[in-house]
Amino acid sequence: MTIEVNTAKVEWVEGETIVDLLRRMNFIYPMLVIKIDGAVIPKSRYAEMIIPDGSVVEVIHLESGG
Amino acid sequence: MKTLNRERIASRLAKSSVGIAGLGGLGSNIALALARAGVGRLLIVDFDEVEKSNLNRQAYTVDQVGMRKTEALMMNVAKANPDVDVTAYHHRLEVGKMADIFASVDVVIEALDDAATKAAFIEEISLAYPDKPLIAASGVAGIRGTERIQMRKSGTLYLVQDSQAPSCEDSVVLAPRVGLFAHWQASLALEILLGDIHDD
Repeated sequence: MTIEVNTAKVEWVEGETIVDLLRRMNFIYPMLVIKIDGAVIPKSRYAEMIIPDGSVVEVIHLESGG
Repeated sequence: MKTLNRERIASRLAKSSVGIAGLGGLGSNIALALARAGVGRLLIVDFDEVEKSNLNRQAYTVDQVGMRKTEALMMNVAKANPDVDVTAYHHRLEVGKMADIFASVDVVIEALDDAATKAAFIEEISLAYPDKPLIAASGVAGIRGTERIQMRKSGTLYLVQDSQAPSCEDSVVLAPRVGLFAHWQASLALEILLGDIHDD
């Protein structure tokens, strides 16, 4: 009953949304791209999407400058 | 290198296309590097004009201040390699409508400035074209940390990043460091385009 978040094993919490996970992990960066099992998740779904057990979650932080 | 392989590389690149979103320190240097390498078609997009303050890092010249970046970069690419077919859009990429113009290119490069726009662009391109390689960059600002720059790959997304770099609002962006990111992105594009062709 674990998920992987940026290569770290993390406990899976039943019913946890992406917003909940970001709060639990203290990811406070505002500009993110999130992938679950390889698929980019639209920002509009962060509050509703439940993270399945065993998921591989990638949280990619972006900084301004270019 | 055998002549045959050199010709295969040139031939493959000449038939290839790359789309570049943003023509600042990243995009202007990426376009020139890809043009010199022989990529046949570039699609370049930016809404901005060249400002004097851009010249510390962007591939424009003093006499181009005030010009549209798209026009100035087309000139500079043509001087470096007149065989490149450049399509330019003087156009601001708007959230929700960023993906369409990149439909025809083999590889997309994110070279935008603002973090929120970068995130939205990566999201839109990835959702619209799940199989198209997308090369992004993050963390170009600052004067230290060259050794921290690394490439993170996730499926078709390649991110050249320094995850500890400051924001450009808190530090400077200068030619050598942003050039490292730009050339790393351009080099990844070549690796992807050349795929099965090897060095030896």
